[in-house]
Amino acid sequence: MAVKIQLYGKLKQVTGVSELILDAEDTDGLLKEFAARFPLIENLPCLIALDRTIVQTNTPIKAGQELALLPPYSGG
Amino acid sequence: MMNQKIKNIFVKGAISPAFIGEKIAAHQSKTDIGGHSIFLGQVRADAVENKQVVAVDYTSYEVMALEQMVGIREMIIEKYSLNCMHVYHSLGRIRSGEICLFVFTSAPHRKAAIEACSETVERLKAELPIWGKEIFEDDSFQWKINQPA
Repeated sequence: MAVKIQLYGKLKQVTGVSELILDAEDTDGLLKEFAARFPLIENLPCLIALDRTIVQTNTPIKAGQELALLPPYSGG
Repeated sequence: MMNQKIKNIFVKGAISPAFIGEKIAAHQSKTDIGGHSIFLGQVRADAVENKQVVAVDYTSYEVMALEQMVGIREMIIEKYSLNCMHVYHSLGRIRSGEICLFVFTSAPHRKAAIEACSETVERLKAELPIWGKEIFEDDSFQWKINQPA
């Protein structure tokens, strides 16, 4: 399934895009696809937000869900 | 999602001392408050390999940050029985020495106000999707990493 993901912070800067379309069925698959597409940033820590909530374990992606890849936070 | 109204915490650019003063003044009519606690985050001119940070450029996944903040706010207001809580975080380029974070908690007594303020600062730094890019004087940059305290 083609899913749109938003990229933020360093991930946005390194890839040069704020969103992209990847083919994935679940969040682990999404991370794998992302690493395959951008091998240079494979070692960058990042979190996945599914509908604006961080997912800690592999989670199936449903059509229409909002996905984002987030580097470690540094607000404040 | 919670049904509490989502409040915007984001301010474009630095938070001015005048704005902070106005917010304090706005509480003079709330006479059940006995203590305020305020935390102000200021952009520090760190030196990294002989280059000095001149500004931090803040960006956020705003929709998620505001939703997360609703949960933090509800939990802390209830835990410390606060009269009110106000949080403002800058977005965009904030120069060294300028204020980028303003957390303001008010309670009937000082201890609750102080502890609530401290916990809010820690939680928002850990839980809100906000990123700071430190800009050096020669326009090079590095991504900020938050220190434990």
